[in-house]
Amino acid sequence: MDIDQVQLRLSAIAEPNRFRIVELLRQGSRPVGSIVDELGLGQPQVSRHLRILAEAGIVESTKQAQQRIYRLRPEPIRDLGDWVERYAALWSERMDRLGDHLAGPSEPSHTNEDGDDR
Amino acid sequence: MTSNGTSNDDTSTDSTSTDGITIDREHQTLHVARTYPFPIDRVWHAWTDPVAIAAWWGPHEWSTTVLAMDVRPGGEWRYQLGPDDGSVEPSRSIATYRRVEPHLLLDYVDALADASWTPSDHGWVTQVRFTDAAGGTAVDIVTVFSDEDELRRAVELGMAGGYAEALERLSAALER
Repeated sequence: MDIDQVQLRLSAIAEPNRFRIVELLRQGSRPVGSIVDELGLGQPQVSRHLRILAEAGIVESTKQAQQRIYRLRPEPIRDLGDWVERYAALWSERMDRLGDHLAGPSEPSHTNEDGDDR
Repeated sequence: MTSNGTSNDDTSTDSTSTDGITIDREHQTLHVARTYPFPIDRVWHAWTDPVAIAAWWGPHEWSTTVLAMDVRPGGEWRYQLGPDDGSVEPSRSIATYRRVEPHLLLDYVDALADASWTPSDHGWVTQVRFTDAAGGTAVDIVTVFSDEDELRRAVELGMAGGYAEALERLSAALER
């Protein structure tokens, strides 16, 4: 599985409320209303989280009567349980922060050295 | 294996296009490659200066406190990492440098430490290479894990909260 996909899934799942949704769905599929009740969040918020999880391929839904029933897709959850991938994403984020640090003026950096060709 | 972009193939103008992460499960190694549009001395400084590294090492809204940083073979880098909101106890780590070649290579063994700064038995080796890359600096990191459970503990105890926080920001970018 390519790392962008891993990062997308990790990102989707790392948000605390989405993590709670995933934990909830580990127990079995649920209609949206039940997820809303459990989380104590507004329906629009929950829908947004579910949309993000669905786009990342972590959950899937079917329509039953008036409600959408959500369930976890087993394969990505298995993959995400892999610490190596979580660790990889951690490093990726760390490297992002290094880039921000290098680019940013947050540090009193001495700018006496100019780029050679600009 | 999906290791695109680990060679210095400059076909794109995007400075992050050579980024890559490769997971080698068989050998328990993680390879991270990233190129920055800054000269090596600045990137090296970011890795070897206690003030500079504290600015970026931890996840967003987590603080890295460097208690010691002695960048030479046998020297130690001791740091604490904890969330700004105090929701998790800071973790302590001791990295011991094995090889130091200024502007070229850092090689250290990282281990979690307890409250009295006694390192755990298991550590993992990290090697960071710095190379000139068309006006910028390519950073190549290889980490080798000696023990899965130790790593898991490190990630979960030390970084789980901030990690989620950090990934949320990453998520904002990816959701676009």
